[in-house]
Amino acid sequence: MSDFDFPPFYSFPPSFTRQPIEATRAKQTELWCNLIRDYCRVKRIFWLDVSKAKESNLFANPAIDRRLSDEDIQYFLSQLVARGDAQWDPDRKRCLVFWRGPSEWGEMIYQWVEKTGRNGQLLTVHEIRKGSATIGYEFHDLELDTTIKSLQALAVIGKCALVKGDSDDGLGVKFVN
Amino acid sequence: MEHFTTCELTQAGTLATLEGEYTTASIDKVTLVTHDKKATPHVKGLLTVTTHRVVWTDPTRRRAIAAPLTALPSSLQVVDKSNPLRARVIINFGRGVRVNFESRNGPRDRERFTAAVQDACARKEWKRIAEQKAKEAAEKERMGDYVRRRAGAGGVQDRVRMQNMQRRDAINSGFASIDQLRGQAEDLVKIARLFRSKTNSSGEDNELLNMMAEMGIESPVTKEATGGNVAVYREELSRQISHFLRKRVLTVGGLMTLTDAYCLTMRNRASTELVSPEDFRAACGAFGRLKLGIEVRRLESGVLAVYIDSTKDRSGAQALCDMAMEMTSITALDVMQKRHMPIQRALAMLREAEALGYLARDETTDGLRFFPNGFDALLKSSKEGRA
Repeated sequence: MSDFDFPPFYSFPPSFTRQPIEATRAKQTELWCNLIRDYCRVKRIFWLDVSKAKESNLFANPAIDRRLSDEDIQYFLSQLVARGDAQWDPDRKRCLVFWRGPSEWGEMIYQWVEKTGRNGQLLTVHEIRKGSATIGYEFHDLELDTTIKSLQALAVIGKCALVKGDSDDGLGVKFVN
Repeated sequence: MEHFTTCELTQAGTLATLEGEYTTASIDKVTLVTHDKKATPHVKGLLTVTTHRVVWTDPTRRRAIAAPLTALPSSLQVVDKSNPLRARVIINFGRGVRVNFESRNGPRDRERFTAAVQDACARKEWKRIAEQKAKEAAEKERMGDYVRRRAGAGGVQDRVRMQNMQRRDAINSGFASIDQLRGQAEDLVKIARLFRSKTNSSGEDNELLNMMAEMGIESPVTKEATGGNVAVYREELSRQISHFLRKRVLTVGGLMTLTDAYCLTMRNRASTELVSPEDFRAACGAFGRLKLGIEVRRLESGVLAVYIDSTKDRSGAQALCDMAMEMTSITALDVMQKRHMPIQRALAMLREAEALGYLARDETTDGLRFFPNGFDALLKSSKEGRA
């Protein structure tokens, strides 16, 4: 896993205290949300497990001996969800972080389909995610829910049609020109 | 009225004094009329005689006009046309300015007024000050020469000895008479100022000298000058005290106990012009009525304190931010020690600065610290990094 360069904000002690003044807190929230998103992108984390994240360096900086409290982690993640960059698991123990939007992923998949001449073919979601043909592409091994969301985004603009399979992974997809 | 020109007032409505100027008489509810008895817009104001000027201040204390006594001819013509009810005095200011007193104790006010004007004209304080300045300048030149010739420890010692002698002379002759003492106190202040400018160059710690140079309300209001009129005296006192206290109260965070304020004020008036505690309290009590931007409050503990609403004043928050910048971060304890203020007040000030967006908090098990609010800059730099 690649190392993550934390921004200067991460070394500023007040960052780890939720600011009571609204104007200040708004800026703090934006900085935290950006940090969480960037961290997940570099670490290629789709599902951010709250209890695991608490153990990691994301929410604690040992160098300045500061960590976010559990409530504050919940608060900033909720803010990330509120601005549309993440989605909660129903029990709020994990958080699906969209460090790249579904339509962006969809576009990448579609470009691959066009480049490799798979237009009009029926592909399974499993093939796209795990197939040997996609090795080396960024969307290889993409998280399942995100993949489905991306394909749905493509379906909405009429670039593909989803075909029901026996399981989520067996879901079929047919790309159109 | 051609000899009268508008003159400067302080924020508190007191006269902005010239160098070495002090008030010798002030009379309330005075109307000015021209030499041909025509009415002027100058009605029922405060007439003040200083060592340099005759000043008439508008009742609202927003504007003032002054005539320099230097404009008077050498022989002062005072024509007294008073009757027992109304004092009317004409002073010859070239074409003549008639001063019309509408005061209940007319004759007494007229006497005080003419006496003060005549005294000021006789003493010619402005002349003395000009002479003194010239002398000082000459002295400085001579001293400069002297220093150049005799630099080093010996030179410094000589200089200090000389200054000590000057000071001792000033103190010795100071007790000759009260009037003289007043003049000499000025000399002391001047010596202190001189001292400060000299030691500045050697970079020594000169806190004490600074204090000495800053001492002295230039022209303390006295009961004598207001002719024993308590109401006028207290109002003038109130304005003067508020003007004097404003800066000092702000530097300690906008709150100072009344006893501290009293001591500080007394220390800064010439030693012969003390104010009784009752007068001081009454004068402070009038702050609100006179709208001087400063007020007296009873604190939770029951102690009376002089208070300035510093939330309206961003400089306090900025000063705390600068302090935090210098020390990386500050706690209420740091502010308390640096500014000599109660801890609750220190904390309240930090919160005010936080609410204004100057500081950001860092809450840990060790307590509450405040950092300069860096979120704005961090956000900007992170956006720039992204772009």
